[in-house]
Amino acid sequence: MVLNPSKYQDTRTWKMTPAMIRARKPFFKGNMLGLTLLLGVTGSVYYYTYHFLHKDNDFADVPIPPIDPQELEALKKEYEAKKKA
Amino acid sequence: MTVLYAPSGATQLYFHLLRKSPHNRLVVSHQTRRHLMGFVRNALGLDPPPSPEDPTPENRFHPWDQSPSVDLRERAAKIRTLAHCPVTGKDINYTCPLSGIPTHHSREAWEMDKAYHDSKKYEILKKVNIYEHDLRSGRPFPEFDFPQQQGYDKAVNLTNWDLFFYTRSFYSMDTEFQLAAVTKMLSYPITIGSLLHKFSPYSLNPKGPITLEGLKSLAALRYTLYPLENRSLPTTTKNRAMRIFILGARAEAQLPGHVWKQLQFLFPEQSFEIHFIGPECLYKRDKQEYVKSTTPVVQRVDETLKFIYRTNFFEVFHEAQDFFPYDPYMDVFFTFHPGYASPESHGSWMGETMKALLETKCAIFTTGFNKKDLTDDINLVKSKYGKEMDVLMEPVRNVFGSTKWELNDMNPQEVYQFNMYIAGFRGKRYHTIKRQ
Repeated sequence: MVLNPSKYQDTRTWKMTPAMIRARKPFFKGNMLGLTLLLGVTGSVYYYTYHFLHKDNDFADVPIPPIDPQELEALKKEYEAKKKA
Repeated sequence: MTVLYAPSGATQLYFHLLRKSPHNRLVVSHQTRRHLMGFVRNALGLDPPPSPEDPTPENRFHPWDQSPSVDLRERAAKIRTLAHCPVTGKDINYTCPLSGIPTHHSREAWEMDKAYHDSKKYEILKKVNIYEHDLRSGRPFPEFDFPQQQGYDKAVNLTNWDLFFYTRSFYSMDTEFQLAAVTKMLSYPITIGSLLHKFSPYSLNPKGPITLEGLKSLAALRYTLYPLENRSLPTTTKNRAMRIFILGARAEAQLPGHVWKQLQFLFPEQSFEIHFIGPECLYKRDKQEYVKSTTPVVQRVDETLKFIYRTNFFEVFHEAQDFFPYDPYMDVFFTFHPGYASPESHGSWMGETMKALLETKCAIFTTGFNKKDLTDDINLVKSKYGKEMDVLMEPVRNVFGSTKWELNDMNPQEVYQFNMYIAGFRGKRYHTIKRQ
């Protein structure tokens, strides 16, 4: 019956009984290893995504105003040269 | 308005009403305090204080000479009569204060016994003491309420005792006293069940103790035990129950039916006949003596389990061909602590009985009290019948041995557990050809 109280749950404090804790002991190492693996993979994905998104070097080659007059003259010459060609 | 609804205000009003009656106030405050503490303890997840009825090593310890139980006082007297001091060789006159069991001739001899103190043997002897007192304490034993058959969707885990109890929904064995009481009874059926089960904790060589020949024998037995899983193969109609022969049966023959039923619950599709064979296999509790019977005594537990008691040696029935034909797929032999190599039972085991056992060509599993006991047995069988037998299972510690520590009255320092070690062998199935 689903609603029957478990024999491995203390009826006064609802904690796991020592027998249940002993029954779960052989699986502790394996479960901890699995948990570490799971959290490790998930955390790695999040960290990589976070790190990748915060690099932000995509527009480094775009000039930002105000621009230097000498540089402006050089750009103008370059533009005129391209225009003639 | 706010002050009127505050809890402190309510408390003041409450005490004001009860001012005229100090007795009521004491009762009420006492109840309130206990209830409040219980609630706080529950909320914090702390354990409630233990009941004085709960067994602990402190309240179960009595020196056996002054034990409240008559049985244990008689046993202490028996130790003093039969045993000898390991230091001086004289009779036992001193009760070890650490373990409560008579062990030495005097206190000087007790202090001189370095091996006794270095190996901490007294701790195990103390466990012997407290376990025996717990069984005779008169406390309730709810752990003896064994579970019935469970569905196929609930698999049984046979890795160790704790997982077996949990997956079979036994009572929660919280203390070592409960474990000791139950594992002593269940060690016999579950030792058999853990060997034959498909999820046996013993694996094949080199990871486990089962040899290739052992795998052949166990595979044949499992072929019979799990007929539904061999559905693809054409199986013959099953015409009889699987027979489990227990030779030299003593304590295991006295276990009640509902304990042996735990073996049948592990194999719900199979019916069993357990044959107890030996001069001491039929014990009449009312007469307080072993009974001899020329005809087999049959006790039917239910339609799937039957006990058959034969109060003679196995070779007598073997020569009379009572059990023919033997079938390695449906017959298996167990000898619990037989003592092949011990002086008092060497003759009755290693003559005609062992020859008859090997002739059956069925699997034979044997257990021992400790490692030396079992290895001596197996080495003797190998030395005497080495060319006529195969080793099925190397001597290994029994996963389902009893956790209750026992004492040898003739040598109080020799402690053991029932079915502590286990091994298996079988008569050779392929006849060897002599070289010309």
